[in-house]
Amino acid sequence: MPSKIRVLIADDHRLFAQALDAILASETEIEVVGRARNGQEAVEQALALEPDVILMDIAMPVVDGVEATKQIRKKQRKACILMLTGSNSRTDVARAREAGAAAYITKDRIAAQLIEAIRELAAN
Amino acid sequence: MYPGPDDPDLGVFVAQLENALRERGHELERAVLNRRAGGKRRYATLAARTLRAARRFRPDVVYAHFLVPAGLTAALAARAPLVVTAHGRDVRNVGAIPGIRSLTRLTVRRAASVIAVSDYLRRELETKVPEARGKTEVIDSGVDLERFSVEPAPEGGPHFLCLGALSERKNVVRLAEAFERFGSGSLTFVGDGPLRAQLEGRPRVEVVPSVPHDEVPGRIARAHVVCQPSLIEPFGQALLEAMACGRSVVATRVGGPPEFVPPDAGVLVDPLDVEGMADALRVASSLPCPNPAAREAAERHDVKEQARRVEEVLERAA
Repeated sequence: MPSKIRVLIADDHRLFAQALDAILASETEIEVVGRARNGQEAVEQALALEPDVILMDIAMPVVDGVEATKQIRKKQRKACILMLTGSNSRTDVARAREAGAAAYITKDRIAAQLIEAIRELAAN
Repeated sequence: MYPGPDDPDLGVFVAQLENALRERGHELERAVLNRRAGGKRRYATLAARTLRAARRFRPDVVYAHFLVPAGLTAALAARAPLVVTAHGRDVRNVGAIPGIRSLTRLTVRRAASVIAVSDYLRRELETKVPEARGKTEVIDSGVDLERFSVEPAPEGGPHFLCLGALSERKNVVRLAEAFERFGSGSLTFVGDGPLRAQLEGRPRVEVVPSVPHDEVPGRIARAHVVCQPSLIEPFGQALLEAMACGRSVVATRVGGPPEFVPPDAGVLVDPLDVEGMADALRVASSLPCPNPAAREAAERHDVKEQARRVEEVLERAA
C-alpha cells in the first residue's frame, strides 16, 4: 500500500479548519498530521513534522501565511505549500508566488479543486 | 438545524420547507445536525455528512440554511451550485464574533444565490457583506396553513401569549412590565432562557417550558393575542403562525414584522417603550378574535407558495 500524503493545515478559523479536516479525512490516501492556528505555529509544525503538503491560509495572526511560507522555504527548500487565498486578486497571487508557494487556490474553489491540487503537488 | 428526538423544535421551518419541496416532486437528501448538544466539534460532523451525502446523492444544487456554519460547510464540501438562506443570527454574528465576517464573505461569494427571510435582513446582510448585493432574494420560511388553522376565541381573558426564548433580545421583561400596567387578563410565556426568574411570580403571569412545535397551535388557540416585542426580530415566525390561527399580534417594529403585520392584524411597537407596549396590548385585545385580517395576511405567506419561490431560485442555480 503506497504511503499516505501527509498534510499540515494552517488556518486561524477553527470552523474552517475543522471543515477542511473533515474533508481530508474522507480521502483514504491523505492523512492530516498537524493543525496550526497561526503562521508561527505553522513554521514550527512544518519544521518538526515535514509534511508532504502544507495548506497555508494567506491571512493569519501572529505571522501571516506569506511570511510563514518564506520562513519555511528558507529552512526547507523542498517544502510544498498550497496557499489558500480569499480572492484571486493579483496582489494575493503575486504575494503567494513571491513567498515560494507551489500553488494557490481561492477558498471558494476548495470543494472543486482542493483534493486534486493536493494529489498533484504530492505527486510532483 | 433540523428537528430531532432530543430537540423536536430545532429548525422546524427547515423541515416544513423540505416537506413542501418534496410535495412539489423534488428528490432531497439531508445532511443535518438535529440536536443542540455536541459543542463546536459537531460542525466537523456536519462537514463529513455533507461530503458523504454530496458524493452519494450527486445533487443538482445544495440548499443550506444559515450562512455560517452550514452554508460554509456546504461551500467547502460540495461541488454543486449553492443556495443559502440567511435567518438572522448568522447575519448578526458578522462583526460580533471574530472571524465570522470572512467566513460569511467566502460563503456568499461561493453561493449562486442567497435568500434572506425578510427585507430587513437582506439590507443588513448587504450592508455587512457587500458580496451579497445583486444575488439576494427575500423569501420567508412561510407557515403551514393547515396545521396553523383558525380556532375560536378562548373563554375569559384577554389572554396574551409570548412564545420564544426568555432572553434579552426577546424583550420579555418589558413585556411583563407592560402587561402589569395593562392590568387585566393573563400573560403566558412559553419558553426557556436566562430571564425566567425575572418573570416568575408576577401576578397573572404564567411561565412554562418550551413545547414541541406540534403543541404550538394548541397554545396559540388558548390566547387572544400573541406578543413578540423583541429588541430585534429578523422575521418573526411565531407571529406569522399566530396570525395564521386568526390571532392578533403585538410585534416589534424593528426587523421583519412591519413587512407582514398590517394595522388590522396587530400593533407594531417600539420595543423600548413600555407604556406604548401597554397601549398596544389594549388595542390588540380589542381587535376581533379570531381576526380574519390576521389570517388573510398570513395566507400570503403559505409555505407552499414560499416553496415554489425557493424552487425557482434553486432551479436557476442548478
